[in-house]
This record gives sequence, C-alpha cells and structure tokens, in this order.
Amino acid sequence: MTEDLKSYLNKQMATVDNLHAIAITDRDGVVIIKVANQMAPDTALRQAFLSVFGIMTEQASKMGMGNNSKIINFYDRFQTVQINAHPLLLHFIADRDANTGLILELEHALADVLQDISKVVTMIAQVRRQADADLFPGDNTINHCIRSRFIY
Amino acid sequence: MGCCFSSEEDKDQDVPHANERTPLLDPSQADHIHQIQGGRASRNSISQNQKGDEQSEFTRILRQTAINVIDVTSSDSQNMEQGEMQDRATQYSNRLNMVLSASGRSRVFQPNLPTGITSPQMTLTAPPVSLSDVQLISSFSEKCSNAACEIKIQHKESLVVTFGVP
Repeated sequence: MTEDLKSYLNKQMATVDNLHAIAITDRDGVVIIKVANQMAPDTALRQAFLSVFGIMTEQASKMGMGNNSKIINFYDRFQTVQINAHPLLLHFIADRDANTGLILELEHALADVLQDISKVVTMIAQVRRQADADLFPGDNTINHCIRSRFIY
Repeated sequence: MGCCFSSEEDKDQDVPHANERTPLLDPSQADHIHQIQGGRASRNSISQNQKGDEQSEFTRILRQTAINVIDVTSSDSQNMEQGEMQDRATQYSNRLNMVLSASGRSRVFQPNLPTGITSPQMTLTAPPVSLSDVQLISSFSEKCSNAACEIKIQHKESLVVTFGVP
C-alpha cells in the first residue's frame, strides 16, 4: 500500500515542472513518506533540515499574527515550500524557477493522503504519550512541558 | 438497637462488589477528608491548600512563560538520536501500511482541474469573444508592451551627492 501511495505522490509531483521532492514528516522531521527524483538535493531531505521547519513554524506562531502555516525559502538554485498541516509537516523541494503557486495548490490535492497519515501520527503519539505518562507519573514540571512539546 | 447497618443492598452504592472494607469516601479525594476535619487540622489543610494553589499557579505561570518565549536557538537541543529516529520511522511505516489497507481508499491519479471556475458549463456555452475584441486587446497589449520598453530614465542631477564635505 505504501508503494501505491508513493506512486500517487510521484504522479502528483510530475504535475508541477521542476518539482524534485515531496516529503511528509512529523513535527520532529521524522520522514513518514517521501518521493524524490535524482535532482533533489540530498541535504534538504535529511531530518536535520526538515526538523528546523517544525521549530520555526512553532516559534513564528508566537509573533502575534496568529498561527504560521507556510514558510517558503528561496536559495540560489532551489526553493523549499514547507506547509504546517497539523500534526504533519509537508515539504516540497523544487527548482528556484518552479511555479510556487502550483506547489501550494498541491496541498489541496494531497488532502485525503494527509488525512490518512494524520491518523498514523496521532496513533503513534498516543502510544508515546502513554509510555511517557507511565515513565513519569504525576510529572508536571516545566521540564516535562518542554520535553513533551512536540508530543501530541 | 441504634445500629446504622442495614443488610439490605444499598441502591445508591455504585461501587460493584462492595464489602465492609470498602471505604465510604474515595481515598483519592484526601483533600476533602482534611477539609471536613475540624479545628487545627482544618486550618492546617487550608494553609496547605493555599500553598498548593500558589505553587500550582506559579507553575502554571512559569509554564505559560516558557511556552510564550520565542527561542529559535533550540534547534540543536531538539535533534533526536539516530536510533530513536529510526525506531519512529519504522513505527510510522508499519502503521501506515495498516491504516492505508484499512481505509481501502484507492488512489487513482486524476489531474487537477483549475478551481477558478465554479460552473464550467456556463463558461463553455457562452458565445465566443468577437474577433474585433480580440484584435483590440492584442493591439493595446502590444502598444503597452512597446511603451514599457521605451521608458528611459534621464537623470539631470548627479546621482551621487556628498554630504558634510566642506
């Protein structure tokens, strides 16, 4: 079934010229599913890079302008469009001259995919939260709050 | 005999399999027991409750402050260990297979239609634009394009101005 989903994502990716990769991750940048062609920069698909958006969108939401939903970065050769689709993060990596509007539209095309994957993340998060509660019963300190900031 | 015990089953008792050792008051609600004890114990419990309230309020304020702080330098501390990351990726992969097969949704790729028109049949059945209108638009856009190309800036003053030089 994952292969079907990858094939579907590949076809969606092909609808936008010069779009090289689509990655769906959790808030910590752990990849749930990703598709990429050979042009995609390897560094942009590592957890260290993908996790930064999770932190940045959270911090940017504290600026007093409501929740941050998208961050678009332009580099010399590439652009990254990153979308905060709670509880998931959606990352698109494309050429600098790719059509950003079309990439943003892909979020709607992937709505039902995101819905299914959200269930997975929610289930895993519940299991982790339960395990956390068993390890630290009654722990309501600040450290606990900070530690579990990314747990849903 | 002044005995309060009744062998009849208590209809209000909602604890199943209750016996003589079943506490009438829930031991988890120890605060309430403290409160109903009179005199000095009561005063102690009130002061303890107040202290507890202050502590919880203090903790709440600290927590809220920690949440509100904008900290973009914490990215290094949030990096996960490689093993933990792989564990989670494996968990996601397994569960994703389960959820996808359970949902039974077949993902048939359909190219996106433009979402700008709500009723395409109305637009498609409308009479076509007349040729004269098309020519008018073409000529005007060509003139606009030519005009934009011919715009030149002619500076009459020096672009570099020195300040404070005697």
